Order: sequence, then structure tokens, then C-alpha cells
Amino acid sequence: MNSVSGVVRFRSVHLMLALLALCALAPLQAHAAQSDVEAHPQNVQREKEVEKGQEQPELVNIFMVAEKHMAAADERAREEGREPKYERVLSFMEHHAQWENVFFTYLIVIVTWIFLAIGYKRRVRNADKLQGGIESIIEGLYNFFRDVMGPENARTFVPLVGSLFLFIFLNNIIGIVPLMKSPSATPITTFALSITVFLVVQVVGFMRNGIWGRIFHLMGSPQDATGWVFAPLLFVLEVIGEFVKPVSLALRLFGNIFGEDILLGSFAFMGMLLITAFGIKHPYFGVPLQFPFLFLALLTSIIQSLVFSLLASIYILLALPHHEEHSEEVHSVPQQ
Amino acid sequence: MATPEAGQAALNLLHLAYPIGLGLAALGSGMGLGRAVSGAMEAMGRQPEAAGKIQTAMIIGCAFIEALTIYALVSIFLIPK
Repeated sequence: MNSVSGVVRFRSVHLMLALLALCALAPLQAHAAQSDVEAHPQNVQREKEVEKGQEQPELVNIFMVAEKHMAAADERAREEGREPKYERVLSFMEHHAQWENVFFTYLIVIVTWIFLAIGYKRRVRNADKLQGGIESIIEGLYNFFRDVMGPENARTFVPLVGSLFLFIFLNNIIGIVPLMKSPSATPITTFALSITVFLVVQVVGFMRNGIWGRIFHLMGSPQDATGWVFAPLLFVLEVIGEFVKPVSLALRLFGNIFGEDILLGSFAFMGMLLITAFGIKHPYFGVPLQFPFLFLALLTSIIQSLVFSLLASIYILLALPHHEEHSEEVHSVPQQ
Repeated sequence: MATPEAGQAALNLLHLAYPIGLGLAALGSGMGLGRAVSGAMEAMGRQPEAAGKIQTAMIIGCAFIEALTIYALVSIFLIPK
């Protein structure tokens, strides 16, 4: 097992090289509103909105660029008396505001799926680097969740919480890549994920405890008269708690990633303002002032995906019967 | 009476209130995080072999504390400007 995880050793040099590449591309991340103002100086209303702070500073993504160019092409076509070509695409883009997230989510899913499908082979010897890397990731996730949930539960639930970790991590990290957008910076994505966790918790709780057992569990497992007196109160509190958990999960992820994107966006915007002092005016390029915050973005991306999957696993663990015994099991597991 | 001027004045006050409220939330959760992390560090210093488990528990606690600041931040996004 050690030889497998030794095949691909994570080197900090690789991380530094990747960050340097991002730094070189960083000026491409720009302020969407700003670029619109630059492209259409006659658009005074938009400029006023930006000044009043109505517009959130936003990282530019590839669809914003495409939309802008298509709108400009249509405008030119109308001036020259030709038929505007992109009207239907533009109206689609306008009326389906969430479709960018769908695109980037499916991009992540398909790329991850292809990597896993290529790397997944039942070879024991002669494992190549891809297989070794993927196996070390899966093994690391399994070991991490085994320490939290115990080996039995980990074998059942790591396919769920481990893929949640990978998916949310890639969702968060894709926002750093220029011309891409974090799907998890919108509440819709994060609420979808947390409602999934909520449904899994409820289904697992009712299946493993039985209906009466689950209700008994929610009443705080009363043993004596005092327990039964407080049982209705505890039941109401626990039921409210069950519904608050997914809301808090979703809002935490959304707030962190959205805040991080706003931070990068505002510093990119400041960099674009700064570069006009050197006499260069470009809708997409600026001084990469947001570079130090890319490290912060890396950190929050990792920590938030870890926290989401960890809390999901703990919520599942709390819904299981006799969760006190599992902490005993964890003690008997040798530390690696 | 709700005149437009009064509404504007209320909005101005709100704009003053956002950063103060967020700062207070950050102050509180910063103090909480400091206590949590210092406790975890002490525990790790006493029992280095249990560092992994302590770290996991610390991260969960930190996530709950930090969520309060994030709620304040989200409320700023959600309130009309």
C-alpha cells in the first residue's frame, strides 16, 4: 500500500509551477462590469450602477466574453442593415441565468470521470503514475473518513462523502482558473449538494433505526421520567435542527466561495484601474494585484470542501444507531 | 412618514451599518477561533500522537464558529442596496 502512494509524490515544486502559470494568466481575470463600460462608453447607466455599487465585482468568465462579442457583432450587423445572427443565443443566455453553472459543473464531472475511467484498472503490479495518483487520493480519503466514522461506516459512506469532497474541491478551485467560474459560488449549487446530504441522512436514519427508533432517537433517547418530560421539547428542537443543518452547510460553502471570488474580482478591478495610470487601456488586462489572494483562495477551497464533506459524514454518523460505540472502534484503529 | 428622503437616509445608515456589523461578527468569531485553536494546540503539544484526531475536531469546531461570520457576510449580499 505504501508503494502505491509512493508512486506519485506530491511535490511543492509542482504547486509553485502551477501558481506561476496562473500568475502569468492572472490579468485575464477582470471585472465584468468594467469591461462592459470600456467596450460601450455610451453605456452611462451601467457606469452609474457600477459607481453606486449596484454591480457586484465579478470575475469574468468565458461566456461573458462570448456574450459581449456576440452582442457587439449583432449591433454592427443592425447598423449595416444585415440580419443579426446571434439574437436567439443572446436571449437564451439572458433568460437562463444559471446555465453557466450547469456547463462548468458538467465540465468538472466529465473531466473527473474521464480521469477516473482511464486510471481505474485492477492492476496490482506495474501501476502507472495515473493509477497510483488516483489510488493514493482515494486511499487518503478513505483513511481520513475511517478515522472519523470507523471502518464499517467508512466502507459504506466514503463513496458518497469522498466524491462530495472531490466534486466540491474541483468546483471551488475552477474559479481560480482564468475564464472559468466556480459553480459553488451560487446558492443553487450548494443547496443542491446540501439537500442531497439531507436526504441521505434522513433515508439512512429511517432505514437503520426504523421509524419508531428514529423518532425515539430524535426525542433524545429518554430513559427515565425526566427524559420523557423533556422529550417533546427535544423532539421539536431536533427536528428543527435537522432542517437547519442543510441550510447552514449550503450557506457556509456559498458565502466562502462567493466572498473569495468577490475578493479576487475587486482586486483584479483595482489592478485594471492601476494599469490605466501607465497609459494602457484594455478591457481584460491589468496589474495582477489579486495574485497574493490566489493562495488564500487555494486554502479556502481546500478547507471548505474538507469541512463540507466532514460535516456531511458527521451528520450521517449522528443519524446512525448507537453512534457512541464507533468512537470506541476508532480508538482501536492503529494510527498510520 | 416614509418620504423618499427618509428612505435614502435609512439606506445611508444601512450602508454605515453593514461594515460595522460584519466587523463585530468577525471580532467575535476571531476571539472564538483563537480560543479553539489555542486549546487544540495545547492538546497537540501534550499528546502529539493524537494530533490527527484533535485536528479533525478542531476543523469541525472552527467551521461552526466561522459560519457565523459567513452568515453576516451573506446577509450583506442579500439585503437590498
